[in-house]
Amino acid sequence: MRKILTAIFVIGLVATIAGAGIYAYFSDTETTAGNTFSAGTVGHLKIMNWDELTWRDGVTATWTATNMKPGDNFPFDMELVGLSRVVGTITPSSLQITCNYNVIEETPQTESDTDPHTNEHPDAMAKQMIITRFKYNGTDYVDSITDFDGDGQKTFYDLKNSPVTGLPIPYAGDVAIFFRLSVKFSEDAGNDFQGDTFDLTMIFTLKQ
Amino acid sequence: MKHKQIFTSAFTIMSVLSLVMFMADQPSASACTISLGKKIKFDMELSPKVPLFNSTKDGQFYPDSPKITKNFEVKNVGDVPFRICRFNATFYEEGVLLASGLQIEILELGKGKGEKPQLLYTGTLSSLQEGIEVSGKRAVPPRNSITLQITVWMLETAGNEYQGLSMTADIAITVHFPPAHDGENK
Repeated sequence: MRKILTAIFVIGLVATIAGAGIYAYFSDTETTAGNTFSAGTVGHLKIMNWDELTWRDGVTATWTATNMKPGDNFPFDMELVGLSRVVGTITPSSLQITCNYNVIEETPQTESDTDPHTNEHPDAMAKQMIITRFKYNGTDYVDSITDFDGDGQKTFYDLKNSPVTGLPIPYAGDVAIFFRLSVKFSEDAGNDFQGDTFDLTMIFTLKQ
Repeated sequence: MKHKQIFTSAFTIMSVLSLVMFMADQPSASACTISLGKKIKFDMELSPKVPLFNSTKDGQFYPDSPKITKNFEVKNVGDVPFRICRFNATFYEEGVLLASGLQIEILELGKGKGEKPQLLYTGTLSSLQEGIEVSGKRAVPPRNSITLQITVWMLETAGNEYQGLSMTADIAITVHFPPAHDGENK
C-alpha cells in the first residue's frame, strides 16, 4: 500500500514539473512612452436678448404670444436674439438651429379644452405652430426646414426633428448676428389646445 | 482492502493517461527543450524610440477630426522568434476621461503589397488601460521586424465633456515565446 501511495506521489510530482515546463514561456514588454493627445475647444456661443445689452449663456422669454387663437399671426417685428461666440482653439464650421418644447396645461382645466392631457403629447400642439419666418444673418431659412411629417407646413415639430444645419457661424467678439422668428397658430388647431401654453426652447449649436 | 487496492490502481492509471493526453495536446513542446537546454536571449526593440504621438505637431482632436496614423517597428533583437500578444496603456493627467472619447485601431501590416494587414485591436483608447490580449499575425524570427500601424481619432458623436482635455499616454507592447498558435502564418 505504501508503495502505491509513493508511486502516486511521484507521478503527481513529475506531472506538476512537466506541466510547469510546458506552460512556461518567455515574454518581453517594451513601451512607447510620452505620447501626447489633446482635444481642442470650439469655444462657445453667447446670446443677447432683444431688450437688453448683455451677453449671456442663455436668455428667456424672447418671443411671447398671449391669447393665441387659430389663424393668429405673430410677426415678432421687434423681438430677436443676437448671437456671437467666444473663440476656442478650433474654429467651428457651422451653426445648427433646432428646438425643443413642452406644453403646460392650464390650472384649473378649461371646460372647453377637449384634450386636458396635451402636455403628455406636445407634438400635437407643435404641429399647429407654423414657422413663417426663420431669419438668420439677414437670410430667411424657412425653406431650409424639412417638412418632416409631410403635412405641407413648416412647424416646430418639423424643426425639432430636422434641425437646420450648415448656417454661417457667428462672429467672435461682441458683434452680433441676429436671429428672428415669426409664427402662426394654425387655423386647423381645434379645441384641444384651449388654455394650453406652448413652452418653446430654441437651441443654437456650434459644429466643427 | 482488495477494493481499495483496485480503486488506487484505477486512479493511478487514469492519472497517467490524463497526463499523457494533456502533454500530447500542447502546441509546442520544443519550447520547453530550448528554454531548459541553453541560455538564450529573448529581446525586442521598438523603433522609433521617440513618442509616436505629439499633440503639438499632430494637432488637436475634435468630433470627426482627421484620423492620426503612426507606424512603428517591432524588432526582434533576440535569438528566438516571438509573436505580439498584448497591448496596454497607462494614462496621465486627464488621460482616462479623454481616452474614453478617443478611438484607436492597431494593425499589424503585411509584408509587401499582396499581404493584407491584420486588425489586432479596435475600440476605445481607454480600454487599453485594462490591457488586451491579441494574437499577432506573424511569428517574427530573430533579426526581423514587423510594422504596427496605430490610428487614433475622435468619434463624430463625442460630446463637449472632452473639450480642452489633454493627456500623456504610454503604450506598451508585449511579445511572447513560443510564437506558434492555432492560426495561420506560423
